[in-house]
Formats: sequence, structure tokens, C-alpha cells
Amino acid sequence: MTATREEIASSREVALVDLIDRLLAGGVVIGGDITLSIADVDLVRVSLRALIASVEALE
Amino acid sequence: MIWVYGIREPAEVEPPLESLTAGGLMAVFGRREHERTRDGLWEHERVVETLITVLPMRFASMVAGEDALRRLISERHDSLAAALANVSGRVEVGVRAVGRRETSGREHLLRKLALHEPLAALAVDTRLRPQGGAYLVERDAVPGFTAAVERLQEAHPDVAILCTGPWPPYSFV
Repeated sequence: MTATREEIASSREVALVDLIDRLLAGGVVIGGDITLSIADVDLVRVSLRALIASVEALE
Repeated sequence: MIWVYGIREPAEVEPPLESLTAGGLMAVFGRREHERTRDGLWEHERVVETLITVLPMRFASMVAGEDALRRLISERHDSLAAALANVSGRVEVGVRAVGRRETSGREHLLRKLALHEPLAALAVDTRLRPQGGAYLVERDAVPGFTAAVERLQEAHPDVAILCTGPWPPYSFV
């Protein structure tokens, strides 16, 4: 069965939440001369909305 | 400033990526800065995915220059080498269950265990966090792991089990 456009969009959003979770909260953190920047709060808000939307679509 | 992607065993690096080696550990870095947007996150991720097996850096790990990077790696050499050995030949798979709110905390806990235990048995290491589990799986064992996720989904039709990956081992560094 071919995935619909909605299903593909929804799986991308699910992956985005996991991506943000990993890239901003995981990974090696090195101290010293590092400038560690956290992505905008807005980005996280957008992703949470996207997750909620995709969860509703699944139910 | 240089943008660091990850640390791995020495191997060929394709330009525009650059590398330096300190104490047998290779750091892979670039000269461009990725935007703090979803596109920037995916760009960074795509680079990291070419570096297998790698200890991925947190997004936007930037260092003043190569000398500073070499010094940072040397200072933490033993713990980095041990973490790299632990993830060698392995990938991370993310699993989350979403659905209707459980009626009690006990029910929620039992559900979590029912989903986690069969998957943990197929993984070499796990990290459980409120937002879901991360499983470190042998690269060859990924098809068996996703098949187990599908069986769990069939056994628990009232939740949606979201499985993503394989990821670089961000949760096992």
C-alpha cells in the first residue's frame, strides 16, 4: 500500500520531534571554548503543535 | 569558529568536511554554520549520518579553532573512546507510544513496561525518558527490532507506537 501524502507529512513531523529531542538534548557536549546555541523556543513550539496534530490524525 | 559534527575512528573525510586526529580519535568538522531552524537541524543530521560509526555532537557545538578542539578531545580522551567503543556497529532507535490518557498511574506504568520489556530484550542498551525510549541496537538487528515494534502495535491497538530511526547514537554518548 502506498502511503498517502498526509501519512508522509505526519511521519516527517514525528521524526522532527525526535530529531529536536536528540540534536538539542543529546549528543556529546564539549566545554571550554564552546558556544552552545539552543534553537529558538519557537522551533520547539512549532514541533509540539505538529506532534499534537499528527497524534490527532492517528486517533 | 568551526562547527563540530562528531567524533569517530580515523577514516576518509569528504570535502568540504575537515578532520583532525588526537590520541587516535578523529573529530569531523566544517567551516559553515547551520541555521537554527528545522532545515538547519536536518542539514546537520544528514552530515552526521555520513560519518558512521560516530559519536554525534550536540547541535551547534562550535569551537574557536582546531587547537581548541584538539585540546578538548585530549582532555576527555578516555571517556570519549569508551563511548565510541560502546556504540560501534550500533544504531539508536526511538520508540514512543501516544494515545488516550490512561485511567490510572498504575495502568500507565504497566503499559510502559509491556511495551518496553520486549524491546529492551532486543537492545544492547536503553535510555528511558518521559518523552519515550531510546534503544541502542546492533545494526544487523534493526529489522528484527522493527518487527517486534509492529507486533507490539498489533497487540496494543489503542495506542499509536511511533518508531523513528535508525539514528546516530545521540542518547548514548
